[in-house]
Amino acid sequence: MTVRRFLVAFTVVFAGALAIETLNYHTIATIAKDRWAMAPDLSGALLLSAALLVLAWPRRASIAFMIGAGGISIVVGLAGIVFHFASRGVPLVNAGVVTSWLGNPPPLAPLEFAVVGTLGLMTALWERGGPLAQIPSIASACYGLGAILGLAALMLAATTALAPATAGVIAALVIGALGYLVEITHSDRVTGLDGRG
Amino acid sequence: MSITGEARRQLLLLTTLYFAILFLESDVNHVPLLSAGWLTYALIPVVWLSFSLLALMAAQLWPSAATSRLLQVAMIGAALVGIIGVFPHLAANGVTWNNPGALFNPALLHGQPGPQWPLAITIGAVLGLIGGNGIAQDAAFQRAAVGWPTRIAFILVLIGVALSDSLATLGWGSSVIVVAALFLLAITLREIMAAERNAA
Repeated sequence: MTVRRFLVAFTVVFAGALAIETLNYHTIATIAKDRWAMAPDLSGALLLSAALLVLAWPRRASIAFMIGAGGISIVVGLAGIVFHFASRGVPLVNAGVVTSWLGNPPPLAPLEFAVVGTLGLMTALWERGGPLAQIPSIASACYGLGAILGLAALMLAATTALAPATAGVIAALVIGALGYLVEITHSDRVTGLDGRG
Repeated sequence: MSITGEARRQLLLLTTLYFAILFLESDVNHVPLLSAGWLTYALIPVVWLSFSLLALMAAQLWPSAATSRLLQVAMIGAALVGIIGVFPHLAANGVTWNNPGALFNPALLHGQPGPQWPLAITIGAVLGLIGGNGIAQDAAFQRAAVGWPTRIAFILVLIGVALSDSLATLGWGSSVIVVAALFLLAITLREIMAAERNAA
């Protein structure tokens, strides 16, 4: 078990938690008012899937996918601050007024997407962080299934089926956690091969 | 499980950024509650996140066994604050000993405040613990001095935290923290790209 793999797994948990959070708070009513409110629902599920795919199948293509998903998450996080601040109807020149930052939507919360996106980028590009390694096939299967469920959640979120999308993200997290459990209990079998082929 | 050199630098910067976000979110929601006469324990996450930010910055500016230990204490405390914080947030949503059934209300996760929100602090603490583990033995990390852009970002965080102590200056404090957070994000991305170039 390398720190790098742990941080990719951590990205899964972090992105999944953020996806659940926005799927709960960016309701259909909010999306109807502003369709961009769907963006974090999609980017969270996308990064979750990408990170699970890297754990299942650590190759150049999956790492490139994770870099792309991380980049999208950073953009969503930065744009989210502007959207959350603008939704209060406060001009930017009043940013120093107490009330401009109070209440909902939370002003800096979207930047958490930028944090998790940066974590995804960091782990994807950190080649000296140890091998992404060969792992037990059961763990790979769990991660792969989790990635598919994450992509299914992404499709559902895109059609504003938010409750099934949330269930999909939770299922992806549970199956991903199962894969991680298999991986750490079989860590002696990890060969240290660089899986990028 | 340890991390070395530039990756540690990136992870600690990222954790500092994350704690700055958590500080602002906690501060803007808890300080007005205190002014409205709410329970003073609402101040605990604000105080502990301030301390955690100081410990994170100290470990990067002056890496040593002492600052590493200070960071571990801050992060373990932050993990506990996050876990314990779930309970008052649950209570605020009507989950009490007399009404445990409210725990199974499907609308609970949509609550204001969300009972899951404090766990974000625990998530951040895990990153800080990994980043802080073994600083004293990491010669590469100790050799690489913190650059001036990072120092400026840290000063902005300090100013933001200081201004956010009072409701009168909370707005300005929040604005400074936002600027600091964006600056930290830019620095972290630059560090990641620089490391990638060096590796190539």
